[in-house]
Amino acid sequence: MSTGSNLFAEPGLQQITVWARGVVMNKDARDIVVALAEAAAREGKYVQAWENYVDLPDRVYVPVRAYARISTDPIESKYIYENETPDIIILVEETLVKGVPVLRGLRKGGVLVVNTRRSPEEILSFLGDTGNLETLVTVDASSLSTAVTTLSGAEGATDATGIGAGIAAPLAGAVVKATGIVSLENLAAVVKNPEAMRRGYELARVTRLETKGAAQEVAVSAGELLKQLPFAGTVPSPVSENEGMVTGNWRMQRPVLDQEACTSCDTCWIYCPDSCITRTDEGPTFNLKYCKGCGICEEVCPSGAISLVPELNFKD
Amino acid sequence: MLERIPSIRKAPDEEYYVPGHRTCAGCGPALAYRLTAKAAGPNTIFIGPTGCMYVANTSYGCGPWRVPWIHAQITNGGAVASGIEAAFKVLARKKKYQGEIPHVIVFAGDGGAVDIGLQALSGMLYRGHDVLFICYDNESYANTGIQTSPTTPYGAWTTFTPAGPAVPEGKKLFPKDNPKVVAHGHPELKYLATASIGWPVDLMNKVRKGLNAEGPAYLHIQAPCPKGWQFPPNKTIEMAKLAVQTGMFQLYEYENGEYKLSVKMEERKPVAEYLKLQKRFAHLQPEHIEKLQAFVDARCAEVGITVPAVASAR
Amino acid sequence: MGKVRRISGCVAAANAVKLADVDVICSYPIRPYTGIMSELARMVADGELDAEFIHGEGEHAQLSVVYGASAAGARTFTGSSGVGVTYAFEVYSPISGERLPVQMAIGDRTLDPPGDFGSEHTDAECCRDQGWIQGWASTQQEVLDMHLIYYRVGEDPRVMLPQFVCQDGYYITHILGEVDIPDPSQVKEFLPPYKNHHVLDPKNPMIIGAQIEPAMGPPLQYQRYQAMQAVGQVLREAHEEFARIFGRRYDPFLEEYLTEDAEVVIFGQGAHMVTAKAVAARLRNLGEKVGVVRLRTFRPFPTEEIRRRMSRFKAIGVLDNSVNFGISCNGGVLLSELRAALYDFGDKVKTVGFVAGLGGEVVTHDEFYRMFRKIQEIAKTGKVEQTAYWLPFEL
Repeated sequence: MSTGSNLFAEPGLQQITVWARGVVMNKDARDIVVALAEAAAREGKYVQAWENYVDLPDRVYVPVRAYARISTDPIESKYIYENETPDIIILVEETLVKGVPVLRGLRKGGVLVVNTRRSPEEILSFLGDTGNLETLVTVDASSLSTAVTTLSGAEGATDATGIGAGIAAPLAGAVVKATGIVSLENLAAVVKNPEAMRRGYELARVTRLETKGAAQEVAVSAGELLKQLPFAGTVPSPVSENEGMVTGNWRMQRPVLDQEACTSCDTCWIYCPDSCITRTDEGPTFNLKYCKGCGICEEVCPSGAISLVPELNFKD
Repeated sequence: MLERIPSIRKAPDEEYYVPGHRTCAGCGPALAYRLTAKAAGPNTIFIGPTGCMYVANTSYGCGPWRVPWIHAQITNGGAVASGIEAAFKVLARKKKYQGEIPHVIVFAGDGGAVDIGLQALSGMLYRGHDVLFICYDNESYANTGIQTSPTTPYGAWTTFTPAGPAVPEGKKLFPKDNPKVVAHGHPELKYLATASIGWPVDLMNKVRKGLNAEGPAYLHIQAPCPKGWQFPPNKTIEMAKLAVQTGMFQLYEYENGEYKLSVKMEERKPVAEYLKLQKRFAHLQPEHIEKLQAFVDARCAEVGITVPAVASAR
Repeated sequence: MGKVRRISGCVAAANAVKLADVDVICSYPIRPYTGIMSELARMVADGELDAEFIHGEGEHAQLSVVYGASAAGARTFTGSSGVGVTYAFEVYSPISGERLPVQMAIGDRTLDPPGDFGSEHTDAECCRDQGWIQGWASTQQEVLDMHLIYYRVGEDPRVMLPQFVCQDGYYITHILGEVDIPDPSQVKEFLPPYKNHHVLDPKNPMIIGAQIEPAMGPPLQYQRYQAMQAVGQVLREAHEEFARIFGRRYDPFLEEYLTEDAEVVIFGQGAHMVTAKAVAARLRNLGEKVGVVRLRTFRPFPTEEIRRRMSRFKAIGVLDNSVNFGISCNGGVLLSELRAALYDFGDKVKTVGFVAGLGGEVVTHDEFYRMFRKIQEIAKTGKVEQTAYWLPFEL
């Protein structure tokens, strides 16, 4: 006895989803949604901004989401705790285009803003089927400001460091350029670094795309959910890898071995917290399905045989 | 009997803590888990009290252990392990269980071992259950977003001990020394040691000694936390090593009433060299650092680390 | 057949545990259930029972020890009273959630304050919605029988839930009663060995109790709900088997006494209902059509049985031997739940609550007499002037 989706439609509502990396950038993700919501509130809009509870507690480098809703009418979906059909998606860090389903649920005519110095074409090459995406915005926000890492403001507490001092400001500026969702003046009034925000606005490169349309996802039925759940949630132990938690898409930098320099001392192997290094006769091999790119292997290598290379330099 | 591991090269290949867990990039406790599982081998049962190593490892209804694992509350790791150990003992005696009795290991955080879980730990040790209780000490309630625990160092910023004009040093209390709490009041205790992920072979051998002991053993592992201590995730090992080299954490075994130091130290680095790399200490003033240095000097002396702290040449 | 002895409820419980060949027991002293553990300790010391007898460092530890032991494949037993029951509260849900059929004896006691050893059902009733099967015995014999029946029901693959076997502190725990202690061979026939669904075993490693995401919440809770729903039928089967093997027959849900043509009844559970029955019999001698319905299974609450069998009375008085401050109708849990169960019958069945025997005070014959008179008055006039009465102040 489900109702048609139109019954609960909120035509005046826009959903904004920000993706970032846990701990090191989640403050910037939160700042973007808070800044846009606060600016919209100055324009008499109904707003809300929050972090995705399922992504918390955030872990270093894990993909995390923060959300905003901006509406001309009172928000009735306030406690639907995820943005299921975003209009605007913002990536605080470029590697998120690789292996993270960032475009999921994007509404027709949707906008994607990416913090990158790479070309739109290169970014598009990682996204694959862009579905409903109509506008791609690229901006090198990291060159305009520095990410702020703080634990203040987590878990719903007040952020003692203020809003929009880091890369959130230029990224919010880029959002305004592509969408005009709030005015530049109102955004400037709520961020701590309005100069970087304006530079983000100016430098943002807007690319229009042809909307291809996306297939509707079919929800799993309640009966199926119940059938899938093992007795008391107890699951068999994994044998060689836990495929329920694939972490390769956390990685921003990939370890690469210089075989000539490697002495097969096994130091990198013993120190990998993710059991992602196998020792072989030719030196270590890296399990890229799970490697989070923490960089410990490079750091502990006594002979400098391991280097870290940006993940987007690789197509695989 | 589990044999001594002579070197990194000779450490076993097999992993019992496999890839695929939601711990932080560069997570110190995850490495401690991996090394522990590697040393313990296949005939092992893990008890995981609530904490990062429960929540991060089992997010979304799965987990990375190749051996049996069961959740315990943050309060009761020692008691749950007592029940498991007792069950295998009696079931084997009554011929209801055939097979080798498994190693039972509790892997608790500092909250689950030193704070809310201390009562259950003490009860387990007192009763003499053949269990290895490991505290992976990342010096805060990290899973809940970094709040002070009894092992959080003096002067550390946490969300419950923020530094501010009225409380300039952040955390005002000195940490509880759980190995000493454990060592001096439990007559059934068979083995006690501290370990660090900076010394992996030493850590694995201490796990094995604890498991070989017939009776309760306690291993306190310092495991740096990039999120809570606020340092880059590739610096985890460096942080672990510096903790020992400054004497902030002391590596030893306690047997027959004596402390046996695990690492030979020619000199100690001043704690300031450790503090400056972690943002949780960024607010400290010289007088706070002095106070902490004096505390560390005294603690080192207690276990027999007599070399003075000397600033390294720049 | 076994042999009849005069023993306390504590000793009766201990005998059941011994007959069930329990593997791991965890104790902690608190009056008035302590005697169960003393008796078990003696049995272990004398070599009568081969079990691990563990001294927990508190009730929280008791429950935690049996949680671990049950997951490792052992049949387990623990128990407590009063504030001990509530101190362990954190662990009740993990035990039922992991579907570990742990058994716990409760010797009821008031919660503090005041420091009082007397019986009240408040302690165990606090835990009523934690996914445990729960019932009250009213005699020492029933204590023994209920322990055996509950092990069988809780360990049934359709159920796999923990159980509280409750007995009123002092009244049942300490006063002696005649108990037919069955022969071990009978118990062996009645109670199959414990087999867990997901035992901790390195040869077949499992991950028990992983964190879930919200989407897995509804199905996981629904599984536990379904298990509780299955208890009724399994209880029926177990009682049939019990009657066949041991020759003692109980109604699994409601014991009816002098109810055949009764117009009004008192409804309640536990030891005080023995007194209620005596008073009903005396009133019958005067020609009054009164009876007693004693609740035997409190969780799952036998809603359908109550609707089917109790809607025929004109008025029902409900005795709550517990405090439930601020509860609907000012009575106790039993009043609320009975009223909810009979809601569809509306005015046809009048209900009224009585709160009595608090702090372990006796519920006297005279008090039951006054309760019966009040219920009769309601039946006659059709008027309920007050939803519940606190004795002895209000009635």
